[in-house]
Amino acid sequence: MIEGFWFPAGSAKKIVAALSVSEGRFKVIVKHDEYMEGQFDELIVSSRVGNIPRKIQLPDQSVFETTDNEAVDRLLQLSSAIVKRRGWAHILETRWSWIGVSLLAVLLFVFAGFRWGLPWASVSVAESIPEPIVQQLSQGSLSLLDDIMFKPSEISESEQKKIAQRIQNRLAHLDGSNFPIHFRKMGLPNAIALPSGDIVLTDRLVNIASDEELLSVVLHEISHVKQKHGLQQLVRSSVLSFAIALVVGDSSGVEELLVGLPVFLMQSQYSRSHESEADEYALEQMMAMDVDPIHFARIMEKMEGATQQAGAQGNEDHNESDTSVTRQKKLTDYISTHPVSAERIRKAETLSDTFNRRRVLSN
Amino acid sequence: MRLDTNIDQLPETRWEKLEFHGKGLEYFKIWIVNIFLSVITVGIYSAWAKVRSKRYFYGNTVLHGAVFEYHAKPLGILKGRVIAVIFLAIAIGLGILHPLAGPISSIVIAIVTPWVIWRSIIFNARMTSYRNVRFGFMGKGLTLYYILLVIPLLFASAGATLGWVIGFLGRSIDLFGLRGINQINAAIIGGILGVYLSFPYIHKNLTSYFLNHRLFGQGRFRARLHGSFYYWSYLKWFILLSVITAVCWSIVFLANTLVGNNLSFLRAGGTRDAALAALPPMVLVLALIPFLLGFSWLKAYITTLFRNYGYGRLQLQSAATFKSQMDHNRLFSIQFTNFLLLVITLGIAWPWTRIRLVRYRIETLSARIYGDVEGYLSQMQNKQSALGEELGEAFDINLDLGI
Repeated sequence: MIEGFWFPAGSAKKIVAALSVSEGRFKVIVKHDEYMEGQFDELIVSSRVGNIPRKIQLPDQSVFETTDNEAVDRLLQLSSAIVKRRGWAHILETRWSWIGVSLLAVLLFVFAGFRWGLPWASVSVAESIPEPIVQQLSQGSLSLLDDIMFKPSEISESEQKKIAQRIQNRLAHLDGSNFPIHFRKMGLPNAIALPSGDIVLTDRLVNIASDEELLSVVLHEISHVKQKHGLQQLVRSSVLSFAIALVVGDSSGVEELLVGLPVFLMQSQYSRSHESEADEYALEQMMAMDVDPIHFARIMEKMEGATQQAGAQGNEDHNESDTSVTRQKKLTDYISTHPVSAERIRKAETLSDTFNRRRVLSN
Repeated sequence: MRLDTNIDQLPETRWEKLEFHGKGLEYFKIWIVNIFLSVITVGIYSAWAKVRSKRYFYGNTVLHGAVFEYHAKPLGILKGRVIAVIFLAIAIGLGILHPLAGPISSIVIAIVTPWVIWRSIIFNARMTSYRNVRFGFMGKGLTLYYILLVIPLLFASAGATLGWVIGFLGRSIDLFGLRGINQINAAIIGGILGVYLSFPYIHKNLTSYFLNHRLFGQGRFRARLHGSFYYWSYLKWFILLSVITAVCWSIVFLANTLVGNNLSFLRAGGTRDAALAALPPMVLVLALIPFLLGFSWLKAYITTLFRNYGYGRLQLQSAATFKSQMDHNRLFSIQFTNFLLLVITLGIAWPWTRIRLVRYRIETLSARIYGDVEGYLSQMQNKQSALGEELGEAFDINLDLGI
């Protein structure tokens, strides 16, 4: 005998009732009176979820409800196989071995997704984005950058043309016209490549760099374009945000950071490897073009010097001690998107040694 | 209305709190198996997962000794999802093939969205029952188009006209000293202001639509909402937003001066670009924290305001009234600690955080049943649910009304 309540079809009444089953037949007793009996197989028993009350629908659409889940499960054990099968999800959800397996499998899946799935997907999607869309995306990001970060260049247009022409002449073998060069003003010496191949140089970079140095920076940026690093990052952050939003579900304000943080951390890790890749390409090309790789080291030093100078200026104004600058620099390195500059400079210098030795030999 | 007058004179009235009996560990088990099976079935099981998960939450929500029940069939939801995926694939495919498809699909989305929301409201209402009586929704789809598309257009054109007139008067008779004003610009600014001013009104109308056409069996829910409350709340929100933003910037500024890092540029006369570019990313993340706290608190505050108001005005025809006694600080602290839990456990704690939040949402609700709820008859049920309803569910667009 299972105790519970009976709900008549189509009304909100709730009446104390009991259900008994024997030899394949059921009997429902409502308020001490027998209400209905019939074949047990005619009952539709809701599948078990946790410990929520079980609903047993009678043939006349009325419902018997009970919280005695164990008793209902025992009844189902005795009945036909078809009815028994209904509870398999609940069985998985209550056996620790299955929960352990599920947890492990999900963790493994998430790990594999991050480790192999995501890089693979971002590379292959980035490869397959059609040219018009790449163009559109790039134009969009350039105008966004124009709005928030750049100001129009202060270098005269004729000068701009001359500089661009000088660089592109040396890139002729790479088809330099595929990499239009733009000039913008920004507080720091910097260069940015858009997926379309457009390369932006800032005024301060142009001012501190020699032609060779500018060439090395442009080569570095061209590598980003050729390897489609920008597109890969875009795809990766979209997929990541989407996946995290899926798992975390309806976010409530604070949880939104949860989407941002891992995306940010993943991106900075990836961009480090992208930077070394681009460095390698630039240095290789310089060697091939008979340009001393030392120029890359020089411009790196200059750019870092300019950035630090900017930082020092800000601190001097407030009479801050040098220690805060160094402490802060360490922190920056920790999470920096570029591999520690000294390392990059050293690489260029080593290659420069090889380059010069080879030149001496060939002479 | 009859029931407005005599609620308090009814002899048998009692406030009854809703209870929530869900448990973190129990839900964790369901959740992890759901994810596992969804992954190994390439997402197909997700329809079953959704139903099990919803049944768990509904079945643990207790009012007056009886639980709620969720009735949707996984196969129907799966069907809706398949159609939704095909629809999206076509839209994305077209977007890749033709550049014009972008603007066109935005227009299509604008036209389809109210319909999808409407079907989704109907679906979710019909799939819910309490004491073997189903809920329902009898709002018209057209009303939603009116609220979401026509109202903003009306406000925008009214604003634009007003802007134009002011511009015109300013130019011709030098009213308000606006001689130099450009009429077109004035009209554009007026239009944009009009759209902003329409938000509280749209919010009020949506909430009203959402609550007033709801059925329990044959009984109808009613909620008389006042536009003034929504305008007042949005004004409060705006003021608090300004204050919080100002306070957050001051905190960042102060911390920055104390630590002595690059942001001091902003005051040292260096350019903004230089300051931003030199700012190490870690400092940016740290600077985000006060904003994050401030804005989440504000979201909890405003959600609570709308929720308490909406439920406070809700009645079930001659049977029940409701109230919500949510406290925004408590809500915020739950959401914030949930967030910390999620970060520390890398997301594994999600089921516990979910249960905590839902428990708070439900247990701050109470109902006063004064009429004959038992006498409520189920309305005639349409046995098969139309495909459109499941499609609405598949896109899973939730109206965030704070209800």
